Amino acid sequence: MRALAPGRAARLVQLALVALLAMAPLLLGDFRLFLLTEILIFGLFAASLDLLVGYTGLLSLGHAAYLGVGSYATALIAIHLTDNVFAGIAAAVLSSGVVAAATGWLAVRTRGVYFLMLTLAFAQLLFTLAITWDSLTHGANGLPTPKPTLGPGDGGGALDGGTAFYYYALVAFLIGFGLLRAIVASPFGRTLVGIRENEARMRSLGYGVARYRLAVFCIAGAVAGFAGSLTVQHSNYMSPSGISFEVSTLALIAVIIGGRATLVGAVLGSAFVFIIRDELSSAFNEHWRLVLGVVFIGVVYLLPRGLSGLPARTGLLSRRIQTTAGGSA
Amino acid sequence: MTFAAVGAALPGLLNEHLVSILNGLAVGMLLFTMAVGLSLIFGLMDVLNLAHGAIFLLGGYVAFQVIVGEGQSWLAGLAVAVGFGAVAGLALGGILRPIRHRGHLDQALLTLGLAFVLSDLATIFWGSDFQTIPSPVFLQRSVEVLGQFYPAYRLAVMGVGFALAVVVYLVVERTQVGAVLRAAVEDRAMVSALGINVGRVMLAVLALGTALASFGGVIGAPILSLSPGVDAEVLILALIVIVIGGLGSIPGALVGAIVIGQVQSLGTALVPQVAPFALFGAMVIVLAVRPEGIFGSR
Amino acid sequence: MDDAETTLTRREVLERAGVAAAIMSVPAVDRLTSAAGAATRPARALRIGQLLTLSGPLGSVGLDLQKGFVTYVRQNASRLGGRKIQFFVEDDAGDPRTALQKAERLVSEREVDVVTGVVLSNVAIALRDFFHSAKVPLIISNAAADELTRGESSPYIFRAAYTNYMIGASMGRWFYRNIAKNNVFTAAPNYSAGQEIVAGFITAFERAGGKIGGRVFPPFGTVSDYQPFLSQIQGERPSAVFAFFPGAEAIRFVRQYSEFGLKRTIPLHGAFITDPAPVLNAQGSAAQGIGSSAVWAAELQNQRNARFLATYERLYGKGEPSTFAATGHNAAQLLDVALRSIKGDTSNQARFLRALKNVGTFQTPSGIFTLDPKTQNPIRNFYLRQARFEDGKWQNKLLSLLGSFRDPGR
Repeated sequence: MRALAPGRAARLVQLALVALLAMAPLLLGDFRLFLLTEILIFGLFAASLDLLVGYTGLLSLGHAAYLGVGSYATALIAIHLTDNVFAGIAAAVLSSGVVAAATGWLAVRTRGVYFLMLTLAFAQLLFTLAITWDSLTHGANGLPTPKPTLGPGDGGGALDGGTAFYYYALVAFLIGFGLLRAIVASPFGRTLVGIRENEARMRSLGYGVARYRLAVFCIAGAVAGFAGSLTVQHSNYMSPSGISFEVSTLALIAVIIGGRATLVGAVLGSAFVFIIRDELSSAFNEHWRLVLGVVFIGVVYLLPRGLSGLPARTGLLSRRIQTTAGGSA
Repeated sequence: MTFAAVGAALPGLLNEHLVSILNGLAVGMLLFTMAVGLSLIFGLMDVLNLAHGAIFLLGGYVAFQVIVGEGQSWLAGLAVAVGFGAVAGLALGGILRPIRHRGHLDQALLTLGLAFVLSDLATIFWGSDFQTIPSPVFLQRSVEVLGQFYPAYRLAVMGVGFALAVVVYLVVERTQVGAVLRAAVEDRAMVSALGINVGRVMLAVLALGTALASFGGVIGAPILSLSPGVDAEVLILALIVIVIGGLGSIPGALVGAIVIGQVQSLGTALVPQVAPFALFGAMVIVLAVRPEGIFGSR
Repeated sequence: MDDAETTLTRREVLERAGVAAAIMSVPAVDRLTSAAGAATRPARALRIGQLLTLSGPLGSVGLDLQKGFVTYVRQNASRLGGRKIQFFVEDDAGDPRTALQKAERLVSEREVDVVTGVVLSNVAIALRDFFHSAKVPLIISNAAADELTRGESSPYIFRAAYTNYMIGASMGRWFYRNIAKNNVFTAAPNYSAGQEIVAGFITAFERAGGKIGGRVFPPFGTVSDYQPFLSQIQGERPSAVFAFFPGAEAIRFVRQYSEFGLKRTIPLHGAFITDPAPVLNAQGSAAQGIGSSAVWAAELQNQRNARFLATYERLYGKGEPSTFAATGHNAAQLLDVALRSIKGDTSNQARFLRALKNVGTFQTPSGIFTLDPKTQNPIRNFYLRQARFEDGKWQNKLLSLLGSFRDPGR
């Protein structure tokens, strides 16, 4: 396996993308900027799922569980302790990491559909817990939360207004995304791909496959929790519907549409899903699911490597890690 | 507590909840009817058909159209729906064909996309309001069982479920058709060499599986009623059942269905506080003990 | 900041576009202004955002709210408060976060003057802070969470429908006088709306002198079979049951209540358990005789109801409107009456809000309707209806007026 350094063209494209994102508030109206913020946050969440689905070949249908734990942790800290964003993020990353460890311990022992169903089960159990634990979560009605602040203590440096929050979210996104990329490029990340491609061989080489799986499950969970924290800070609200089956499914669809095992694909896929749902919804009324389904089928048929596989075909971006289309189900 | 005390308490407890146990069986057999098609396709073709719930819902709607819309008999509705299900299976075969060489994941994903499309098409044709198929007239009553009223239709569902279990088991495990099916799964080339068209055999399995999904939709409609969302509900229930039982195993699906039926019925009666967690909690416990389900082998 | 500048220019552009649109329809605007005798000529059509759940299991509720709203508008020559209007409809898919995105779009991109709709309580609660800080009025036509009229009220949030408390409370006294006085059980799904409706019922029932025997809260959304809960109720031998279940759960609960024989011995009545028509149709004879409260009934004999029914039929064909269509209609009328009092001029927003708050009392198809200026929530009639088979179909037939109800507020 050759780990190629990103080509020059690729680096230019990356720079241009970051510059474009930095200038977005100048180019977009309030609503589009709001949407872009949501896309970045959801994209980070989907990218953390890609770590499992794409790189490790673990198809999770309950990744929203860890997003939800992070969201609730941030919401509760904001309501009961402090509005400070860093406190919220720390609580979110820690709690979702812990919950991922507790559930992942069981989940990584299973494979394929069993893994899929166990992750779904954990998400549904947390969903139900959120609905029934009224004194903590305020049940199905959900928790409105105060606006987050950057400064120490309450009220200092309020992240008010769409532009301020956008830049905050962009920085957070770049940190989270950079972290995921570093993990993928590290020996640890390459081991994960090795396990996905040939588990028996990695085992015979002396890798503790289960430990690797658990580790990546915790990392993915913690990053999802990070995204969950941002979600609450943006919408100032959390309810059990944030852990719903639909959230997990949409993230999975975003990963597949964008392209597995690319990270950037997950973000592109998220943008695509949001645009279909929010931009085309006026054109297709309430039938955006139909459109999404058709696009999804088209991608599975024609672009097994997703949207981000398109430029690779034309040689614009060199893949860091060449991946085969199918993980193991 | 001593064993004697437990022994003395148990019959009383069971007596009190006999209806719940009976109902658990009925719910279990309904779940089996929902899940058997999914299990069959997975067991024989290794395809996880995530459009199963959508086909269940469409089957129910088709029968609804025939029975309520056109005023035809219940059996006619059932027949048309089963026919529709079989055709849907053939179509699914055609859709899956170009990516047969790819991994299982791609095939499962394709069916997920189909599920989105089909359930939205169902909303376009039948709206988002609730529709229901009344149970057959002779079953529209309650009979007295163990001193309590019990809906006759559920007793009938129980019978249908058991009959279905026996028939499917016999066909797959005890007939020549089943032997060919199983052999085709084990060794495609060998079966082809015998002059049997494996592609056609597989298509037949798909058609049978989706016909069963559609059949389940008709049987389930009088209890569940039909509306958007029921497809996802049924898909998840069916997945739980076959995962608990062990993927692809017909006896496993039966046992999984009965376990879940009892968990939902007797379990809820005994400890109502945990009812909301029972369904997924039971699955987590089973998979913690047996990571590949009760009858799982691979 | 640059941001503010770009926003401003964009706003100007949009405003100009709005003026252009108004000029194109000058004759209509002329007739209207002279008829209304307005001094100021409205610069553009009133922009109304409709934020509704249109897809998924609750899609039909959102659609009915919209139909009711449109019916009112069409009854009034497509104008509200004398102004031409423009609709911007967004589907929240039943999800609070999606709803926030759509609200952001309505407010910042479509620049709506007012938003109506909202099917779900959690969506309404999620939107509360948004509308509060965006300073755009929201007229809720269904979502009934109590707290938006209590601790989480806002000067920008108005209600044209009800709170959960009112829905439950409307049945309390009637239940005590006509059904049972002691050992009454309640049954509702274990989530916010279920708990609030039951709490409202118990408050009113106990105030009338009744005694509750027990409460059963089956889990929300995960139960397709109520047999264990029904057995539990049966074992406790209550004198009657008050129940609330939404949509599919109502179908299953009411049918199973009958199938398992409880209906023979324990009377069942409640709120929203035989509504709307598709739910009742699916329940069929299992619903026979069940009484439930509603804010509207087709048989109400008043001129406004006759016009509502006639226009609704003209627009959407045969088939009775649902009570959701009626509250959608209420929302449009509330907005219309408020706008008329300021001659359709919303340029001064404080004045617009005052007009909404002090919209006062008016006659609606659902009878007399007063917006309580303290809570910005209606004081309105609730009616008792009974499920019956008449004229070849299942219907909720009007029996009597339960009384006028309000939310106590904070």
